[in-house]
Amino acid sequence: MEMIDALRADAAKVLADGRAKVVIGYQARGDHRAPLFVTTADRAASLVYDDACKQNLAVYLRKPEVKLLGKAAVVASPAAMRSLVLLMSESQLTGDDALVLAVGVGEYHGVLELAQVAPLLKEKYAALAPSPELLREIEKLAAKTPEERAAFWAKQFAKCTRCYACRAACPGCYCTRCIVEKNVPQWISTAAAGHGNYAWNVIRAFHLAGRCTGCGACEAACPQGIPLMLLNVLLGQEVEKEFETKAGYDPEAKPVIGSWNPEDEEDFIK
Amino acid sequence: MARVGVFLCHCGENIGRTVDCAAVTAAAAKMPGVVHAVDYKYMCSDPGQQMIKQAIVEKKLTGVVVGACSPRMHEPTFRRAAAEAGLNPFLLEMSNLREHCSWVHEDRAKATEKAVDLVRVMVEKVKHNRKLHSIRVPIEPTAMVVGGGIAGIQAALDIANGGKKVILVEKSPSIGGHMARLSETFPTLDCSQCILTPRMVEVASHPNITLMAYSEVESVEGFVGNFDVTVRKKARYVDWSKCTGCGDCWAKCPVKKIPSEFDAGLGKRTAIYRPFPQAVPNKPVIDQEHCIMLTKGKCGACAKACQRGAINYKDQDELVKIKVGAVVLATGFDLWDHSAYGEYGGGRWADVIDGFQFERLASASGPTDGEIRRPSDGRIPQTVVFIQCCGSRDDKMGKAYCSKICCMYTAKHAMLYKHKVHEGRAVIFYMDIRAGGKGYEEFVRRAIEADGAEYVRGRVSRIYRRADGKLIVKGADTLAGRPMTVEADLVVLADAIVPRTGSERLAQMFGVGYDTDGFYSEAHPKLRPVETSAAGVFLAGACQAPKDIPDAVSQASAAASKVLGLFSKPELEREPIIARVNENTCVHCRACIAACPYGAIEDFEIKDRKGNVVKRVARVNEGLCQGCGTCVAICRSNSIDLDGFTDEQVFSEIVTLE
Repeated sequence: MEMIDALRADAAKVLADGRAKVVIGYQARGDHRAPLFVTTADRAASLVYDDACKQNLAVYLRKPEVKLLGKAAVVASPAAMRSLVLLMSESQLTGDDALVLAVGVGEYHGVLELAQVAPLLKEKYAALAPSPELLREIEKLAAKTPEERAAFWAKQFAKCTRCYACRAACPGCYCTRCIVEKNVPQWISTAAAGHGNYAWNVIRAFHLAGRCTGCGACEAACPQGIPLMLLNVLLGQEVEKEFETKAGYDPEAKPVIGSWNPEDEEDFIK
Repeated sequence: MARVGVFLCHCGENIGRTVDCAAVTAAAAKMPGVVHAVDYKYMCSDPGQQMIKQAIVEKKLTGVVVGACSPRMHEPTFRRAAAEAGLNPFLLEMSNLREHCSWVHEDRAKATEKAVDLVRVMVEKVKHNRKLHSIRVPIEPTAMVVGGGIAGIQAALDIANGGKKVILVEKSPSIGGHMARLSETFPTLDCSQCILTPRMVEVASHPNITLMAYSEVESVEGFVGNFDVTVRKKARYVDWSKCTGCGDCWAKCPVKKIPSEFDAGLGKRTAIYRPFPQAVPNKPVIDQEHCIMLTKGKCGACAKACQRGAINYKDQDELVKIKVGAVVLATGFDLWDHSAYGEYGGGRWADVIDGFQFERLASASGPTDGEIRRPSDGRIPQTVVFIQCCGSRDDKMGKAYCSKICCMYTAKHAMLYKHKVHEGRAVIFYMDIRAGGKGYEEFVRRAIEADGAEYVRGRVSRIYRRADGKLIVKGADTLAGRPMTVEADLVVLADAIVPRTGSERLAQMFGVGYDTDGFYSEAHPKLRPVETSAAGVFLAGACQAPKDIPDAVSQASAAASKVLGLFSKPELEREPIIARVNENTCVHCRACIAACPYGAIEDFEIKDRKGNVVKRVARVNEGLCQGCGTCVAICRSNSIDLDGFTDEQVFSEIVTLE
């Protein structure tokens, strides 16, 4: 059986026997892939899955309007599965909040409970790495002087129109009131220019340091083509180096920036 | 409308020398919202404070900025003055014009300019200040003392005699600690048991003391005034309510060859045992590691012997939750393991012993009934070598610090030995003799002059055992400048004092700091020697640093007085500088809960009228929060604010500098 047939069959089955009230998957709109919310088994045949599916569907699990539909089964790639584990570690998802239609690399893992996701990731996708092109870009950027790098990013951030599509696409950006929208006091200017743009993009990246699972949905969503994954992966590498941890593998993980233990090195205090 | 008063202090010449206070006052008077600005030589003095009070009333001030020294110095002073004039004390702020300006700059013009900025920043802040009110937390007037050595006993008795309830938790089967094992005590040669055991009995019979022997602290929650401590009562396998301590059980126990901890391994005990005859409580426990019934399931000799039916082989550990208002940690010390010193035999030779083993040999209740007999063959040693600083003052192999008590107990050991073996030789190798203490120097002189102890200033480089059993001690007499060899029958090492094993875990449970050696850290080395950085947790005895009995007892009484002081009021008042969570915007990511170093943030469920959970959020426990602001920095949605340092206040400070 083809992978997509198995996926459709599972989607129809979980809906038919009531294990889920809605399946969140992808549909084809020409070359474009859009999210599809399937609530009846007979519509499961409209589901598609291929390389053009860029969006991370985990983002919908926390939306109140999606929650109203009832328990969801979500189609998830390994990166999206890492997002689910991240959400579990941050108490945003618990054991039976959702089912997962787990699409792996070149194979389909069937219907999983949330608790089964982390073990699958550790067994099969522990070495999930950014693309070689992206790593080459990071090396190129690292070879520049700090001034050149600052200029590079200033140019990139100047393009930002503050549409916040990157934020809307990211499962990690689940705050109901983002800091950029706090206006008493207004720490970050909302004008789509200058300091405000710089501050917004840097703060977004910092808020995802040690939390980004590398799905790339933010960059895919950016209408201005800002290379957001460059920044995300760079910070991810720093976190992995300093804290020996990667986001989205351990549902019990403590937040990297907020946790500490008495044995921590204090070599940054001179 | 804000009506701010600015009060500039010259601090004598401390500020006035570098900062033009009159110019700063003139600039302050023009700042928006400022209705009153004056400068004065000593604002903290009585006339200075009067100026503030008078202005608050006459000018109807809504906020006050005092430009003076560090708020650590005089913020309480000025806030009290404001309160006396009827202004909420938290509507007063200080600009630090001394430490942050005059003391660190030389250029008068630039320093004055900076002082104006420092004042302006606080004027802007104070306009956003809100009235805050001290937080009152009820106090549970029961203390817990952890550790039943002499320090713990003293602290418990003092608190109990002060009229408050005490729970004394001791991990071994009896209280008494190390002091119960000593033969005599310096500098008076009092019999240790004779002065200690009446205290132990007093603990057991005191109506205000609950003794929890053979128990350990398992976990701690809560905060000053309201700690919830879980204590593990270890399985004793003997029902102490039935047991009379008659001794029939241990007389019948077939396992008789277990090295006795109390006798430092020189004596033997049974598997069902009380550590020593004067133990309090005077009831046995079964050592589950060695009991045949518990390990192999057959024997039952003690159960047969017990006429009261007190033996219960199915006994289980029991966890007890206790609410206490204050805690005294008195966990004491261990001896450093000298097997690290290969040149002293590395612990291989029976006749190279530590100080406690010598105490037991010299003790009338010890395994040799007080005769000094060496462990290997039971012969009376004719030459004994004592080596001081074994592991102390040695940062390469041992510990960098001086263990403080060894000079004195070694002199005592030499004295006791000479009193028992008149013709014997006591040779003491020392680095320095540190005999600071009442009657201490005289005591050491007595050991040398009256009792003939031979003091040799120098280190021992090596000890080896000759075939005839003699220990050959090779050292140097650095005063005579020559190598020295002593043929000894017994060597006593004055091992360094180290904290009890497991003391670090206990410190972490209570949130108490400890140094690299594991000794608990006091809040201030001079002025707060029994307090810790954790409010309501106090220190007594050698858990804080090596100490002799008088020092441990003094500190225990000091800790007890702190506890009684804390308990003298029904409520605790604390500064209301605490974090608050905006529950509308909190998404319960729990980052703050993990980050809070005080465990002050808790999960909270917001429920509707029917009791359904509407939302989960983080909530700050007012009693625990120390106002450090870590959660504020960690919160991604900026949903936490710190009273007294709100976002709006900080933002207004920054913006006014642009």
